[in-house]
Amino acid sequence: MIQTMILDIAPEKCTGCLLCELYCSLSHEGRVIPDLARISVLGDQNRQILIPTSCIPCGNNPCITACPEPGAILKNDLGAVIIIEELCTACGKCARACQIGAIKVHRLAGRGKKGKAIALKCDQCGGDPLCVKVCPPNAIQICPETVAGQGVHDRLLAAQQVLEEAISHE
Amino acid sequence: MSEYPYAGYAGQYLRVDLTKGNIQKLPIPLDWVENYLGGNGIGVKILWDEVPANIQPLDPENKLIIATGPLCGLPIPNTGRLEFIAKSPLTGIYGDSNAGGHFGPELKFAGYDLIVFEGQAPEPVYLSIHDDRVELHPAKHLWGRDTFTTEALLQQEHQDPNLRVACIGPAGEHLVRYASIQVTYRRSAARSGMGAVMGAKQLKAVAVRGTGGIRLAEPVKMQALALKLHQRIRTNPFYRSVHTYGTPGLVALMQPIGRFPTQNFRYGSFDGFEDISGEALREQHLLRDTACYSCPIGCDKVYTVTDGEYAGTLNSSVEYETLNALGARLCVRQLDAVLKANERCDALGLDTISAGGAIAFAMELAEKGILGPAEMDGLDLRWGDARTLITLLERIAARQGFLGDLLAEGTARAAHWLGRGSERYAMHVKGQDIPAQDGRAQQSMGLAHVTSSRGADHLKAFPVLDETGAIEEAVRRYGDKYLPDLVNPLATQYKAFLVKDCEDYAAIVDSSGNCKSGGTFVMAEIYWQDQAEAIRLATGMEMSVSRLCQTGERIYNLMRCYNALHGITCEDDTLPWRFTQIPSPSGNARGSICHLEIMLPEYYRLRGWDARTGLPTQRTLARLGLEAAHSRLRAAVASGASKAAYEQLGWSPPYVGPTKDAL
Repeated sequence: MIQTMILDIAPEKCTGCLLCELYCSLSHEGRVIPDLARISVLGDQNRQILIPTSCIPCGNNPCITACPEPGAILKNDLGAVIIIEELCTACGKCARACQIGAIKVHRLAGRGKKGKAIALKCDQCGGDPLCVKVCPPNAIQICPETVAGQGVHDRLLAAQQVLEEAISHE
Repeated sequence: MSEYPYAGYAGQYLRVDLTKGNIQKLPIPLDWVENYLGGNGIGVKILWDEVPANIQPLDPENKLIIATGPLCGLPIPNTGRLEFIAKSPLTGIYGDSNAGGHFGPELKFAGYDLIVFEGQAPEPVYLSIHDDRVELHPAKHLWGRDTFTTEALLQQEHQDPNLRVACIGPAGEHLVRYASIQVTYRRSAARSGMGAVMGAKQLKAVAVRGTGGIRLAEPVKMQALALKLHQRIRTNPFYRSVHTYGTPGLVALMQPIGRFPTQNFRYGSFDGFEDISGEALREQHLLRDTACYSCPIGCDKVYTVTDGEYAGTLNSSVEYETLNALGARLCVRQLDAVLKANERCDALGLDTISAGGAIAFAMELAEKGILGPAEMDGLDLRWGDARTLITLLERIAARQGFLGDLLAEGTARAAHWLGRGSERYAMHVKGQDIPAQDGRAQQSMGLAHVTSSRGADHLKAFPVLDETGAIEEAVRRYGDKYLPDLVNPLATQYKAFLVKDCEDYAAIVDSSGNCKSGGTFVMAEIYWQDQAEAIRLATGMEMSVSRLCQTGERIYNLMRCYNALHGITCEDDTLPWRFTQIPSPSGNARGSICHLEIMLPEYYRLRGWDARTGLPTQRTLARLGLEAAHSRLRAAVASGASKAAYEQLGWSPPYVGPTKDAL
């Protein structure tokens, strides 16, 4: 059986340098365009809190359940949840189903089933994620699911709730 | 718009006429990028072409240029840098200021390499940029607000927490001549008073959000080069300490060599240095490590004060310069008070270096009896008084009282106006306050202060090789033929060569959009060869090392020519008496003075500048493709225009002697 790999994200180590976003966009889009990165770093105005956010994946896969297009979003052989661009209608149901906001829908001409828009999410770069390679403080690691498990998703969710509270106080 | 011939650049820029409220989107002239790269290079080219010598820095006719470079935003290490360029209100000559953070790349993602602001808005405004949508908005509700509040209000107004902001605080609004521009996240473009230029133009802020991308000429090769450079920096032997302490780590290194200016540069070591060291800062105040855009080092940090009189203080990017300027230079040893003062400078929008310099100047005038009790506005100007420091910062930013208004002019102008022998305590070169180095303890730095194109400054040359003797780095750059003198801080041999080479390379870095504190000067894993390669892969421009060297020289010479239009000559290439007449009393530098008389002639020779005038010769300028600059300069000197401009600068050269007041 193939070992499922997950991204183990440690928000407290993140420095907010955004190299993950930069390289993610470069490798997937062939140019530097962080807006289309499959990972994004959330934070407050003073960067007391920083949270790199990407698909772990979580194990429950509400995105797969929510998708109305057969086969448009699925688990690949390595355990990564991937979107098949040609089948995606950009309906946004997966993005709404994801609790941590790891999927984003972008209006992009020529992309997706309708040629107008597409949902983008982490595909783990086929098993060797660039964000892991470039993250200077090693805030993002890739490891077998059995090591970190569901805990990563729940930790991120909790951190995001703390961030939301902090922002509302600002 | 058709595709720009060079990748790496956005290819267009904004020209904003604040008087008329008119915004133009224009293609970047090819001459700008091919001969001046970007950043400072294009900045000085625009000043040279568009802002004549008779224009005063606070006039509507001065221009403020916000410029990125071809590497800004790209995957190589530390590409968050951007430049602000204008005629400086502090010095009256070429001025610029650089900041890290996240604004520069965002401007390129929005589709612009630079913005040129001209004119003066009839009432306060700010500029918002959301990709193609570029608008001026009223900023009355922001006027008077500090920089943190301004940024937060703009993010709320545009409902976008990722909006990147460059703004001024009350100091810029009140035209304090060393007002800074603060950039998301809490980074400062502080030297040369660029904030006062924004204030004079009634431009409170620029807010930018870009969702576009930057095209690369060779994306696959670029990615491979960038990963290699990241790896080299992360395995550099100094990586761990630079990451851990940032520039504050220098405090403990500069103290023993007598290069930690204390009490307005009287001494080069400070009794209380351990209280304000990088180690103390990290141990007592670190909240978390943070970084500028694409930086693997992360010398930026968030520091907090959680108890005592200054509880609630929050800082990021506390620098060596600030610990010295607001600490040792004033004999203040309470770290929490220095952090509070730093936070107030960032909130008010003040350069910590010049603010500290001005307050040290006032404290020394009080000590010498030059300032009378009635002129102290009820303040206790004793050395080391932290409360006076914090109160004075507020008053300077508001130009409140005699002292606040006087010191808001900057040390050099204040001394020029006040007279009474105060000139000898104004520690400046060409109107710019001297930063936290001492040419007696590091000869190359003394020369660098003097030859810097924006007045006394360490970053125009940043000759770090002889600070504490970086032998391996010296060998890697130049081989071993200049050792041991090149890395000996007290030796003068080869220092002119070092300063010239570093100035040319720094001009390239400041025009490209990467960072001198991480990867190009400190831990110089990216030097001429890699920089040329990175520019080539990013832009597709034919870029050899020799072409890059020549571009650096061209930029630096044009800055010198611009200053010469304002009457600057070798007469201004001088340090205050403390550095050239009084032997250092401190550390390894004890007994040493700065030997400009040895280094300067050699520097002029290497630059191809006339030894009698200190100005670039016709031959030098012709070699750099600047023939027209030579004729313009010659005409300005012949007509007396440059002399007339010099008389408008508002400061006198530093006092050089006699030295009957030792120490």
